Amino acid sequence: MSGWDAAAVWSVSLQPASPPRRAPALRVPSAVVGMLLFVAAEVMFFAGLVSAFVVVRAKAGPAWPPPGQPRLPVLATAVNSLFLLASGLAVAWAAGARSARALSTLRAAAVLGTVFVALQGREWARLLAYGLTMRASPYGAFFYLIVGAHALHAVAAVLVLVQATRRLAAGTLGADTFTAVRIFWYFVVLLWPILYGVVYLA
Amino acid sequence: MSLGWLAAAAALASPAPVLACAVCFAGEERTRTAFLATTIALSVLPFLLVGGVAWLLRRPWTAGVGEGEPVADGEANAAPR
Repeated sequence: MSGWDAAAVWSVSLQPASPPRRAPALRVPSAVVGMLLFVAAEVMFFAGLVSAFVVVRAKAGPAWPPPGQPRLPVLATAVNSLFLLASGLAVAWAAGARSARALSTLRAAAVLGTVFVALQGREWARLLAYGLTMRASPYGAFFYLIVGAHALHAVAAVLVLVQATRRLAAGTLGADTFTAVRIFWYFVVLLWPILYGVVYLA
Repeated sequence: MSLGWLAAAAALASPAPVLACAVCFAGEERTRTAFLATTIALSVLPFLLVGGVAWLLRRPWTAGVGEGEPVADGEANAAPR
C-alpha cells in the first residue's frame, strides 16, 4: 500500500461516522391543519342540525310552515346572500393580488361580510316582531338555531377578517395565517347557500 | 362457538325487539325516508371530510418536494435548502 493510500485510509477512519443528510421533511403549517380540523368539526355540527331539521320537516308534511307562523323573507335573504358571496370572491381575489390591492380587497370583503350580518340581524328583528320565536314552534326553533349558529360563525369570521386586514396593513400577516383565515371565510360563505336552501326554501 | 350459536338462535327466535324503533317501523313513509337519508349522509360525511382534509393537506405541499430524500455526499456541506 502506498503512502497516499495509507493516509487516505487513516483519514477516513479518523472521521466520525455521520448519517447521510436528508432534505428538510415536508412541513404543513400548523395554522392550516388546525383550521381544517376545526372546519371539519363544524361541518359535522351543522350536518347534525340540518339532519334533525330534515326529519322534523318530513314528519310535518304539508303543514309546513305551521299555520299562524310568519313566513321567512326568502327574497330579502337572497339579496343579502349576494353580499356574503361577494365577500367570498373578494377574499379569493385578495389571495392572488399584490399587497396594496390585497389590502383594499380584504377591507372590502370585511365590509361586505359586515353588511350581510347587519342585514340578517335586521331581518331577525322583524321576524321577532312578527311573532316567530324559538318557543313559538319547531319552525322557529330550528330557524334560530341553524341560522343563529351560522350567524355566530359569520360574526367570528368577520372579526378574524378585520384582524387579518389590520395585520396585513402592518405588514405582519404571515402566509400561513392568511391561508387559515381564508379557509374559515370560505367555510362560512360556502355553508350559507346550503343552509338557505334547506331552511328558507323547505 | 356454541355461545355464538345460542345467541344467534335467541335473536332468530325473538324478532319483536328489533322492530321497536318508532321511526323505522311506526312512522310514516316520508319520515322513514328522511331518517334513512340523513343517517346515510351523517355516516358518509366523516369519511368525505377526512379524505378531503387529507387531500387538501397533501396537494399543495407535495408538489415538487421530496420527502426526506437523502442528500448526496458531495452536497453534505452545501447550504440548507
